[in-house]
Amino acid sequence: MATPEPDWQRWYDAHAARLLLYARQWLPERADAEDAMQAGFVKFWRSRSRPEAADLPLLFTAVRTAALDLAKSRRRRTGREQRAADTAPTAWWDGDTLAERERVDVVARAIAALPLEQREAIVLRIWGGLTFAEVARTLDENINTVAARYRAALTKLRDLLPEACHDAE
Amino acid sequence: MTPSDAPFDDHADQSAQANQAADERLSAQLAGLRPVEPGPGLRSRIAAELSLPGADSFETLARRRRVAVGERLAWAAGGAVAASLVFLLGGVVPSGREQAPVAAVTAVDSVPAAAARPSQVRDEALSWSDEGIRFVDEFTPARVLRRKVIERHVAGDGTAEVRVPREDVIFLPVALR
Repeated sequence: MATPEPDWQRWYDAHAARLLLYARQWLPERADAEDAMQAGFVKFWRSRSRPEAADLPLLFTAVRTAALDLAKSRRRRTGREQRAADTAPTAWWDGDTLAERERVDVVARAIAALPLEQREAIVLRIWGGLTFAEVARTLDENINTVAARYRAALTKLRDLLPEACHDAE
Repeated sequence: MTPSDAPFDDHADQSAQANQAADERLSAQLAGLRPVEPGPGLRSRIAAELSLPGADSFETLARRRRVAVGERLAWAAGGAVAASLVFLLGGVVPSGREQAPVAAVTAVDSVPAAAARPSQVRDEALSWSDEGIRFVDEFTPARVLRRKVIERHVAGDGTAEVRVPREDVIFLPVALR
């Protein structure tokens, strides 16, 4: 009989990609983002040995804190204050075909151009799969503030993205 | 609202609906993008780290903190009770703490051993002093009181009296805010 997977592995499988994307909002380098994700995930798992679905915002918060800490230490070391904002994101999303990869590149640049607060709201809502209430809990913000940031981000993205990106299938 | 506003409101409503529809289309479109998966090494690194005896969980730490606070409270309560007993029974119960050498012995004649055994001990308070708050250990603050007394030991037949100066140091646990 096969040994059942530890619980953390199920959580990892379900959330790893979205957590990595979230960490990359501060740490564009994939290796750095993975380090932050590891630190956040381990800390979360040690604090909640039997987490429930309602604990998901805490997992995002743990990864966010780890990413912010790591980004701060990286900035101190490199002295590049606006590194996250200035660096064009690479490979945040998968693209199987050349056309898809081009579209991903355009979307990534548009999202990178958003203010961080709006970017966080949109990443957590769309790719994190969180409700507005959960996004608010993750960020320790008011739910109306979070919803306003999300709508502002979409409005800005509609301006930044070419029409083809809106309607592409 | 005046009737003349109606066309503008309708126009605003249509515009808001159009924006909302566009937002929904765009968000659905964005949701179709698949975030890149972490490298294969990350899972094994996390597994390795979780298998190490690392820092305790927040729950364990919180439970341990609660137990420690309970223990400190119990000690504090015990200390307060003991201190109260010292106050209440101070005239009866002799204290063995910080006993100074015998200061004065009077009427020491040859008396039978049974008669020389003290049958009554009385404390005569000389002075009290409050030495303020000190930490008994890293976490336990206590008010330190110092009391100087003379113990009077009177032999059973009253033929002998021994006076012993004594100093009591009393620690009263307090809560600091």
